[in-house]
Amino acid sequence: MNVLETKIRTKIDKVFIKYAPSEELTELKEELIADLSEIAQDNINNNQAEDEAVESAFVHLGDIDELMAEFDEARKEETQEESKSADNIVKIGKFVIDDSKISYDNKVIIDENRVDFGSFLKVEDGSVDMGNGFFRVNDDGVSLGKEKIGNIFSRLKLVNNVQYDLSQINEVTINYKNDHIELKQSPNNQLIVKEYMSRNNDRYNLTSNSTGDGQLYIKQGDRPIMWHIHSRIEIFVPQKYAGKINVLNRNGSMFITDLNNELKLSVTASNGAISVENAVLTKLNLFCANGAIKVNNLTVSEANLISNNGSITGSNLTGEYTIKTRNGAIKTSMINGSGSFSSNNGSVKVDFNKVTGDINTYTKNGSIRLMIPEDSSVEFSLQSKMGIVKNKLSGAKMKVEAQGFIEGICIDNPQYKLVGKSDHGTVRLG
Amino acid sequence: MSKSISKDIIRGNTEMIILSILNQGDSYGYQVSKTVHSLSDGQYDLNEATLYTVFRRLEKNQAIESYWGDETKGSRRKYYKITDEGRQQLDANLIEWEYSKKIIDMIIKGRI
Repeated sequence: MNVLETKIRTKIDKVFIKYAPSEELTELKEELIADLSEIAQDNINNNQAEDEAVESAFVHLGDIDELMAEFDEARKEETQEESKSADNIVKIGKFVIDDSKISYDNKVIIDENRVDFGSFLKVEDGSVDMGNGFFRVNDDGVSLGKEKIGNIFSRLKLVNNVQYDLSQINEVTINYKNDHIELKQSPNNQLIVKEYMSRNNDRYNLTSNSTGDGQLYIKQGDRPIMWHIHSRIEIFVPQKYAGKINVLNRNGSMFITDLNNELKLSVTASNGAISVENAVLTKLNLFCANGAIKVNNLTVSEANLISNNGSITGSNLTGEYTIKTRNGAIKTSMINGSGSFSSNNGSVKVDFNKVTGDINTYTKNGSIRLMIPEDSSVEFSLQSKMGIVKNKLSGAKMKVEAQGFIEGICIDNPQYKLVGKSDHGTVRLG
Repeated sequence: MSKSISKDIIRGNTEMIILSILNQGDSYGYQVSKTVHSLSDGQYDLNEATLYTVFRRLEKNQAIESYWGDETKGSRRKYYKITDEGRQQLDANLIEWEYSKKIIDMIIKGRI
């Protein structure tokens, strides 16, 4: 930087000192510095002294306030109800929605792994944080207040081991309040429930009863109110049982692993994550109010995976799926099947290895990314109210191509329908 | 009375003026001002603030695009180029300008 440019740069900094820095302002200043340097140099070439040359260059600057009002105008316009759609980004006021995340006021609030509403509610992978850290659920358990969560499993002793014969039972309901629960395959033909706790007291153990009509109820024992005990539960499901099992857990994570059963399993967690690894089931319902759902290697006839606040991630899924979340992203891959995938606020990504039925995807605020094999027997319809709609599947025959609306087919006489619909977000196939 | 250009008339037409210059070639900021100065035979000077205000407006409406140039000496320059939308806007502006000129002439030269 030479002396002339230094003088001009400093004067420009002074002129703009009262304006908040931003990338746009930095670029503008660079342009002005370059222009004024050229003017000043022309003046010097016309025999003006350096200082005088700089002064008269600045006469050409004009009214900066009016120029900056134009910058503010742009910012004000964006905070109105108007929205702009540029490439893969949709803006509505302070919300910015792109391919994989939603930001509010420049802070990411929902992406593929988390929902972050600040100290009020944070859901990330397997943990849920509510009320400014006062209430927390993660893989190690549940904590209230200042109680520290460490690796507690080693301290937990097996305090209770109960077995049930399910030959006369067609529905089992298991109800816990604040536990870490694991569901696995039983080594024999009985339903086994093992309870591990940090304190041993008969009162804390589960209670159960069965009614005559084939129902078995298992309920958490009387846990102390005054102090919190750490506990975890293992539930072993017999392979031959083809009835229903409902597991309810208010606060705590649930892990379902290595099941190959003809059973219909419903799992409901209010606050806490649910994870399924390697399962073959007839029907699976997962519901989570606040917490993420993670599924890996699942084969079902039918599955409903629903989360209110939290992301849903799945890979290697076979069957017909209904996957819904209110706030959170949906990311699923290696799907062999069909189904409906929708999110209110969050992106939806679905990647099919094979399409065997209709596919419906919807998001209100978030983008949709769909991938299917090019030779799928599919007719597709992609729409977005405020975002760009793109088809990148080669070999597809387009029937309609309009602003925000595309229809086409992958092969002639397709059997299935694929819909990708977003209110405020881009929709992309392929 | 000395002749000088009415600021109001120019203000209403700066977008058209800048689009018309960029339509003849990509330019950086001060280069556009120099062109205005020389084409107007020194009668009109676009100051930096006005210039960049209009650039911003035109860019927002996608009538022009910008790119950083490769200068071998000195600081890099941001160049502006007209887009297809910009050419459409320019055509519309030119038609409007000719029309306005005709109507105003009709009004002031006409006799009641």
